[in-house]
Amino acid sequence: MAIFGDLAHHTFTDVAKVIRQQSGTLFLHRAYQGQTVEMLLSNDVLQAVFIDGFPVMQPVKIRDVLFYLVTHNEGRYEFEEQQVRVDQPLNLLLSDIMRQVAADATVQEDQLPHAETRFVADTYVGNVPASLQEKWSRIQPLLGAGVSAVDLSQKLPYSQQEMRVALHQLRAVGLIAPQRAMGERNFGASAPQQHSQPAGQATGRSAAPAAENAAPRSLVKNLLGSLRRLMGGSR
Amino acid sequence: MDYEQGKPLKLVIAGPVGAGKTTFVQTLSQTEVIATEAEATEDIGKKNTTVAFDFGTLMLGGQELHLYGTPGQDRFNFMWDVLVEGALGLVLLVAGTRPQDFAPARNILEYITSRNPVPFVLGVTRQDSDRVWSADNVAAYFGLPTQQVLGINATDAQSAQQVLLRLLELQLGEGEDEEFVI
Repeated sequence: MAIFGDLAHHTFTDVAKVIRQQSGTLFLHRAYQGQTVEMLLSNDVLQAVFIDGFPVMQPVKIRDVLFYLVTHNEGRYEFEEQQVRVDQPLNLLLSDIMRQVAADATVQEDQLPHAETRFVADTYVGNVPASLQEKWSRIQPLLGAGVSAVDLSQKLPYSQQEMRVALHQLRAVGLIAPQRAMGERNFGASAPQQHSQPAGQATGRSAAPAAENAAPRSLVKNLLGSLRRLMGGSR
Repeated sequence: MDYEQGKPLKLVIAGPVGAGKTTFVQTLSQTEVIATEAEATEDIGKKNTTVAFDFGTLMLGGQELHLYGTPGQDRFNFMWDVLVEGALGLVLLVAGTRPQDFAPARNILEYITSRNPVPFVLGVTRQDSDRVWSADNVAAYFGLPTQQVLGINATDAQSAQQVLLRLLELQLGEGEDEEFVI
């Protein structure tokens, strides 16, 4: 098993979400001004960072490196899972730094959500990055039952493209998530909720309306039983 | 959507080019698959690709399931809403060896599932390859619960059936706490 790819295809924000609960070394080849970055990570704690083999000790410089990664989108990457031992660990929370830099990330067209994909508020609890506060204060009250970039561009003085970018950024910092029309857990029934928080703070996910056209349980049970028999009772 | 007894149900298999949709339908189908492949007119990494549908059938407890493998190219976006309407479920496939396809696949999935109340699972194919993303890591990338994402080999019947099994189990709220290994 492996985690690998190219920042031309995956934003660094997405890569960070995948690796943040793991321990190991992330190699980013020629990703920072043509230089290779190594990040030693242990369950969301950034223990060490090297650029072309030289350690980076200052938190401000590390933030700058991560900012560069989210704004330049270049370089192959691979993650090697392993136990991390560092003599002088940095002890910086990767998710904290990412929250600071992700709001300003540049993103390529194919990474942006479809203009008609609907989003709802996510479970993020905390402060909204300053660069997103104005848009968040306008978008948040409209999230209730789910909104898309198309919906927002009809209600707010922004273009569809601007709203796609904004939705991407709000998602990157954990303020919104794609709506699942089937319900909160995709399969379960959930009641719609409304949230109203002041701008600059966010908490709680707005659930999608429950599905009205799921297959009847009796039918699904029948199919499941038949499938299990077909598979020879292996489960 | 009315589910009439005896009326065929629809299972939609979607995903980027090369994810294994045609193979998956062929593996799961109990009848000869009608494949509508043509020579690719652009470089998509393989000679032929699906231009309309792959269609197969599966009979379960007297209930017929129609399996529709759908074209993976973005220009077929307009069909997705129609395809999943009233479907028993959606299986999105991505090749674990092709991380460059994850973002477009996630866009497809989120577009469909934010607009249509369709149950879905994500299958990560080519798990027999040496260098491949695991189902758990793909789940993290897609922001999905791990039980909704399965590592599979589309050529293996048991593996393909497990995808359908999981889709049905989750609709009944079963199997949500199980480790899932194929």
